[in-house]
Amino acid sequence: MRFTSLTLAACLATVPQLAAAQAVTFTNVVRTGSPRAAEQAGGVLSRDQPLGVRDCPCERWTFEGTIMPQSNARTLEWWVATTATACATATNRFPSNNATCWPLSTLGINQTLPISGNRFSVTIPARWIVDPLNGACNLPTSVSSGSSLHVTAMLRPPDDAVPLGTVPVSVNTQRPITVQSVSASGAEGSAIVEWAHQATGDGGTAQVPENTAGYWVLCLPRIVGYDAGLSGTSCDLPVTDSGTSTDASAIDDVAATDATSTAMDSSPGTGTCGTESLPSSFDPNDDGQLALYACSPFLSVGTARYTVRNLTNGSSYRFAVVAQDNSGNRATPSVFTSCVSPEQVTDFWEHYRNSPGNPAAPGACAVGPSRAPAGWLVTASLALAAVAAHRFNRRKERRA
Amino acid sequence: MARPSLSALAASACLVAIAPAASAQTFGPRSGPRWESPQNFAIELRVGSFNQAIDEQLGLAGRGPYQQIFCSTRDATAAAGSAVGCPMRFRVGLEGDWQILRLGPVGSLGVGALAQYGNAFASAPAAAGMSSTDATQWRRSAQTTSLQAINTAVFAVLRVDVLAQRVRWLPIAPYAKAGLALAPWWVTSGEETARDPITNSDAVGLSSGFFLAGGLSVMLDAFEPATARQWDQLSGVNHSYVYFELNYSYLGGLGRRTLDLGGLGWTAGILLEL
Repeated sequence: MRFTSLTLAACLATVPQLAAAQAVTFTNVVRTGSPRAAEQAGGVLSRDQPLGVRDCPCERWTFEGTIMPQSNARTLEWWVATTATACATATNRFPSNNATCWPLSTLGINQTLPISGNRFSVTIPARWIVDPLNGACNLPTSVSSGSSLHVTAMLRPPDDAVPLGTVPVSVNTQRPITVQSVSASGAEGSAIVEWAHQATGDGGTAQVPENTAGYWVLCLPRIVGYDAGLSGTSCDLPVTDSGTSTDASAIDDVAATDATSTAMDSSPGTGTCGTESLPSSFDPNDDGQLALYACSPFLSVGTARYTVRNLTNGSSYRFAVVAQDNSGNRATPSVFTSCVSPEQVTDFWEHYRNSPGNPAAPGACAVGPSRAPAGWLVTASLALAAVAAHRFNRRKERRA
Repeated sequence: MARPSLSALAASACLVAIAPAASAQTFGPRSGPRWESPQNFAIELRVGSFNQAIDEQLGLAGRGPYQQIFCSTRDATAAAGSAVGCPMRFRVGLEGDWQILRLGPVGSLGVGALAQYGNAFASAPAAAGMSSTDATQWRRSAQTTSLQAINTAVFAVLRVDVLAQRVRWLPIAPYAKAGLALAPWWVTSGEETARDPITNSDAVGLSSGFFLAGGLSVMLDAFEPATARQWDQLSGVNHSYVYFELNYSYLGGLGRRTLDLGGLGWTAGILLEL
């Protein structure tokens, strides 16, 4: 027992970062501002859900917690690292070559200690977590999509900064595999769009790509007035940082620029299939842009066919399908390039009613219930007779 | 066409009426060997042809709307102009019988009810592509149209199982059924119920008529008597059969004309007596 305690004490002494890691405790992590949040139960993305392409431009992560009292004139700094301990090694820290730990000093969120009540609350735009050097949602080259980045609290001086605590942030900025074999055909006032979406799974079998959440169908020209249930906004801009940041307005300015740069002409489509196409700048991960062209609700995974309704017979349309994964990332649209024209069709009943030999009077051929109560009265009588016969025989059997 | 139905009803009524006299001599819960459990019911799993007489009712047999819509679509691999025959369509369903009376060693008389679902699907022709008198030349759209129905019937059923029970090398039991039939039906256009072009109401309806059937069932107990006995003791299944039946139903309406979803057809299946 004594040996164990001594060993532990020795370890703590020789690995100071472990002891220091207990100096910060994270009590809450909140995500706000992503257009994807509205799709979640409760309207909130949890910290465990991967940070996706659609979250990155406008989402903000707020980290709240407490810090143990420190000697004055030290600074609480925020870094992003590839692992929980990457920032502990000086050679991993930016600006060294092959850095795996990057400072967020440009955001102005570092804070001189002591802080009131030893409680901190810092808000970091998601795009700076994903892209700590430029804030442009481009993962560092040393980081692969699907891995986690670690928001790290550090204390300076001394120069050999020590991580006080980290929060892992799962990042998935990889676009899903595009839908294949999109086809469409005209029906009455509608068009039937079909597609395949497969990837080679374990064992070499073709299957729907793992992590697929569903699909959107896009129409060209745009269907005026169709509500696909999308927010229609590119970004839900944040307001201010709470407490620690002294330069929140600068962050907002950058985010606002991002949001407006993706604005598109939202006027109704007036062209035809032959003249309309998706703009070259079309970004399916921008809800505002997708809402302009979407002509289906979100279709769950497993769907491979959708009927687009309320089209005009004789007009021509073109269709595209966009896959979406569980992180909210959307694939490049797969376009069926041929033009499709809805047209009037004749269903069986229409043809039957117009056939020679069919009485022309409405209802002559029983559209609606026929009058056959007499027959069913006889049936009921038969059933009653059967029951009576059965009882009669039972009684006779008992007597015997 | 109402006359045959009344005849059938009369026949059914007679069967029920004479039954008490016949059963008075031998009726009892046990009709077979002493080890058998009481037998009162039968259930059938039925698979049969989706027959209808819609075109015949219009006097357009072989060239009416059913034939043109559901039987004239070309196989994609077939040469242009070559028609593919009307595809075989099926009904599946269940039947339950109450074997009310035991007619001595001869058989049983009871009442039953059945319900069978069947459908016909086809690509609907484009209105602008129906100019040819040959329906196989019509241009079809991607939109489907269908006729779907649940054929039901209540009837009297007579099963003659004396051979199956007494003659081991001839385990057959003929049977006959007669009663009333009723079939709710509906037509779809795409994924929705079709609309009547004249009344603009939903294309749904209820056809009524009568039902006749005769068939031959083969008692499976004869092939595995020990297993059959064990099964009876464990689960109460007295006998099991496979059967083949020819049936005729008229659904053109009792008193008022209705869409005739009847006709001559066949049914096969499994019968369990409980």
